[in-house]
Amino acid sequence: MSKSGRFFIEADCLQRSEQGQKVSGDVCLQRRMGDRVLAVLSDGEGSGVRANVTAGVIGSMAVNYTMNDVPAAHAAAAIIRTFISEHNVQGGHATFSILDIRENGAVRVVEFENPRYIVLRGGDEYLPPRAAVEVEVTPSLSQTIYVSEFRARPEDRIVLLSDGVTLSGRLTRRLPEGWRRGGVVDFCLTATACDPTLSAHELCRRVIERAEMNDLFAPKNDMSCMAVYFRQPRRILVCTGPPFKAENDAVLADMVARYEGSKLICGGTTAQIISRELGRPVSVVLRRDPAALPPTSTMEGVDLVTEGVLTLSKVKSLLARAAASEIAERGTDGEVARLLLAHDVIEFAVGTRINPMHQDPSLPVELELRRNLVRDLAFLLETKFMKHVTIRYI
Amino acid sequence: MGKKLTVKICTGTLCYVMGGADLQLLDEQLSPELLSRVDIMGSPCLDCCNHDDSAQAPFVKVGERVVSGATISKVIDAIKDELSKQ
Repeated sequence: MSKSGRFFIEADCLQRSEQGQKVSGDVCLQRRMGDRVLAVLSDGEGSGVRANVTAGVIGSMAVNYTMNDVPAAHAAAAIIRTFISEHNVQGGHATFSILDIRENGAVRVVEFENPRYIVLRGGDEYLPPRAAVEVEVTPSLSQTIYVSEFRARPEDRIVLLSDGVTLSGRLTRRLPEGWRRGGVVDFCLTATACDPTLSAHELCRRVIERAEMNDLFAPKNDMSCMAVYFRQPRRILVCTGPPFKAENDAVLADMVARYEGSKLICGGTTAQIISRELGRPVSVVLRRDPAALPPTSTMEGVDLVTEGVLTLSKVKSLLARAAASEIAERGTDGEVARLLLAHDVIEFAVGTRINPMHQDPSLPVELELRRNLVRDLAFLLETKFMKHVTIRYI
Repeated sequence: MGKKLTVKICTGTLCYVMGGADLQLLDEQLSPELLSRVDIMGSPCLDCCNHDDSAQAPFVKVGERVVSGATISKVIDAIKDELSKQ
């Protein structure tokens, strides 16, 4: 989150592979480090595994060069020299876009032959000036990269696309020349006009779904969409575990009552404590959960109430194996994961009192320690999903 | 007909792993006659596991009576017993 607290940089991406290919030839990488967010979209030559490997190498080269503050033109030249030769320059070859965002809003974009990135600002498209830089690959061959710099404003959105999206629908009667960049811009402007707080995640989903539809649900090329949204942080408080000292029960309940944002309670005893302190009844929704987890409950003013360690442990494994932020699971674990991923700032309030019965070695399943579980979950949310996470023990 | 008998099923972690998961289907196991005389609810945690060392999870509360080591048949017996007292 920006130091001034003005905005949070939400970044997300979504991909579809060309029909018949198990892996995408495009690679989207995101890194959050200190006051900086790096995002790279690279498109390998061709499709399938070979393209995926090329794109993956380009992605990590781009991230590492940028992280080490190598000037953009040098980094791009090194990548291009590695992957472009006189043999493949005529045909399709690897392309990439690198997005380097500082938390004060300074944005730098380096592009090589990907569709030009889109900036949506105040209900219109903003086209930042960009400079063409010639990169000498061999004495007889040079390529052009584009470098642009601008300062992002709150509520700006940046969209990166692979050519699979802009070319989607090509040769169909409706879009003989494909969707084209202009078509995507209009689509994004309409989508954000209808829903001004549309998240980057949701914008990616809509763009990719439309691109798939353009290709009649049989993608003719790998499709990738990456979006960045400079937005008001969306906050969620996750309460799990009873406070170590009973006198802190009121403190925990007070946090829930006063919190401005969404609220999630993971833990039966925790829910009972908050219910008792705030005088808000909690009622269990008795039903079979598709993930075989204990049922959820409802409480006034709280978005979701679930059981504690079993649920959190399933959420952890779900997030660990999720390839993207697209969670389709219908059970409580999916519900909790989707709720967490829909927020930027996740604040855990962890009660450290232990139920000794949970440590009984004769239990049929192993119950993890809540503290460790939350620590692992926080690590995943921070590193893989770029969330701002805090943990407070009570 | 008198007041319905409240049956509270604990859905806390311990009760759930000790077999409480099956108890959620209690309403499907009750005869229509019994079903019409009880109110089945869940509880996030009845807080029984912390208090009585001799009792075993899962717990179900039938009226004011706590059934420990609950199974569907044990709960049905307790319901019949409590209803006969009314």
